[in-house]
Amino acid sequence: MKYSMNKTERITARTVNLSVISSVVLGLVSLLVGLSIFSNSLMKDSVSRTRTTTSKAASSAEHIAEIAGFAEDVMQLYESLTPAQRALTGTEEYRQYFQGLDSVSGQGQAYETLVNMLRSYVVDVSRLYICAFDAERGVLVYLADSEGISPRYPGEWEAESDEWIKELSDFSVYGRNGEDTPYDFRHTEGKGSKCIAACPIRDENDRKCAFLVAELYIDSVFTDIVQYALKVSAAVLTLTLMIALFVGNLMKKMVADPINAIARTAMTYVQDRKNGVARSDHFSSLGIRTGDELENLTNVMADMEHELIEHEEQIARITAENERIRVELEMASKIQSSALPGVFPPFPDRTDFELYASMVPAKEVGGDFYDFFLIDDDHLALVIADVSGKGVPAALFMMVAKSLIKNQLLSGCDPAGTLGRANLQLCDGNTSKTFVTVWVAVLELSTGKGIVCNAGHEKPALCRSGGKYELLAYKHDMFVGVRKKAQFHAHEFEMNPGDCLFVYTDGVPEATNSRSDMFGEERLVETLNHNQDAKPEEQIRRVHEAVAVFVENAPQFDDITMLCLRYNGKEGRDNKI
Amino acid sequence: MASTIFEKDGTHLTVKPDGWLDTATAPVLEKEIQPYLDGVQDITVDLEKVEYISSGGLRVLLEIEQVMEDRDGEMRLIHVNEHIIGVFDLVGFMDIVKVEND
Repeated sequence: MKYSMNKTERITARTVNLSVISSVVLGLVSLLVGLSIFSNSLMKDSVSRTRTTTSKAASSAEHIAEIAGFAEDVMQLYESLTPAQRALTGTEEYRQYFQGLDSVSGQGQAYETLVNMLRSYVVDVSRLYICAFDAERGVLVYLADSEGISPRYPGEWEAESDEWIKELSDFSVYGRNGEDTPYDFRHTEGKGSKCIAACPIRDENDRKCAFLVAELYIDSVFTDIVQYALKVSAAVLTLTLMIALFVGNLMKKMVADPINAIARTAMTYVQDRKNGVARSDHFSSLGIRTGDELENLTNVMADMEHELIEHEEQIARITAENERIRVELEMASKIQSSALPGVFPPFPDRTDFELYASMVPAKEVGGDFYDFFLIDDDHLALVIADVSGKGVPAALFMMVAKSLIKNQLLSGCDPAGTLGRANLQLCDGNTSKTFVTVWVAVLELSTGKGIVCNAGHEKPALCRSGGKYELLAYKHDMFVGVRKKAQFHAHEFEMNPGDCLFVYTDGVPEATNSRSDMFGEERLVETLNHNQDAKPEEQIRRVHEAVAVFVENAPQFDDITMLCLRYNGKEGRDNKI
Repeated sequence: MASTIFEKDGTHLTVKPDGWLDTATAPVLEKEIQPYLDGVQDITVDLEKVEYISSGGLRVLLEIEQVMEDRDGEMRLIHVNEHIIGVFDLVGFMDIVKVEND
């Protein structure tokens, strides 16, 4: 697993970025909309102001009685000039033509009065001037100008745009009509856009003698407004940034920090578990109280942690219990195997017989057993048995059966009597109907004569000296442990020096491979006869090997027990071979 | 072991196991037969489809036989193959059960 703790600030950063971008976009849009609304209203306002001022100033001009005469004087002089002289307009020489007029140069005359009057109106507008209209040449002839620095002097003229000239001439024809005073917007070099409006001035005979024109430069106003808007925008942007940082911080506190805390806790949790630190409050001690999904997540994680710990404790209990059972079974296995004679050769000083036996349980403990012991110096008891079933129940039954049989034999009972008594005792309270097949033999070592009783056990294999192993078939008695009425019959037999006896439990012939084929009695006899003269220990080892080769990797299903005896007679083995 | 067939006709029960009857499968049969035993006086165990019986399988047959004996009833085995007859002979089981092969 790989964790990335360097991704802890991303939600915050994204939130801040998103807030800033959305605020900036929103701010720009509203600024543009605001400016366009503002510029529109500024235009209207400019027109309105310019017109109003024009009307008022025109009205004032009409109250100045000398205006008509003054206009007439200037226009007469203007008309009298040759085109070449008029072309000098704007020069000192041109001005000098008009300085001769009394109404222009005289103190307290019309010109000065008009200029003063115009200047008094330069409040709402940038400039006012009075001019006459030369319809013939399509030019305006200035009479008075509010400008203090480089004003237009009387008689100076200026060509005007066709549209404006047309407006003015229409106006001259159709007369003054309230709000319909002509106005226009135009661009000037260096001073930006201006709004101009014109209003005619009439003499006492209601004759238009001049126009009063007002100009309002709107660019400066507009620039001021834009500058103001930019300042406001900058302020808003700063505010936005602060809000975004605040929101980001809030997000960090409310979302990112709790998530990081949960992630860190999860890492600590994993680390603690690896290091074996016993703590059950990783998530419950986090104390995330956001009252939202994150708190819910923390609670779920805390629940999960407790659940896991409970689960682990349960597993630990079960494991401990299993371990206890395993140890007990191991001990039981040791007890059981030590209950069987396990030291070979068992009677090292005896030369009249050789004996080997083995029991390999399918589970830790088994239901098979073998036994052999000297009842007295001349009588050898041999027992092999198989308790039905496997495992602990069979093992318990086996221990009881083994003791009963041994005790009976040691007390001098013959094999049939031994099994009869053992049967009665085992039948008592045997509700599980467990039974045991037993083969018991007592061999008189001095003579080789023996008595055997077979209670439902596998057929023994006998190999006469110089011959081959053969299974001995004779009528068996019923197995031990379920029928009180069962009768057990003894058979006599005789072993000659060099004879071998091999007994086993059904685990040998019924050993099964993965194809469900059984090892079988035939293979067993074949294996024994492969080297019928082999010593008991060798013989048993070879059968084990043959079974292992046969079953291959199939699991052992039943206990496998074998016992092999070679009778040498009282002369001992060395005399025979 | 495939499923065992149980046929109850009044006080008579026919049991037909299928497959091996060993330490692993015998307890299953032992459990399955219990609900059918009520009021049964005699049982026929049809071993036609049973190829092999281990000591564990014998134990179940013994238990059924014991129940029948307690009721003065009878257990009969039919269609017992030669191998199983051999096993029965070997363990002295033939003395206590009634085998009725055709």
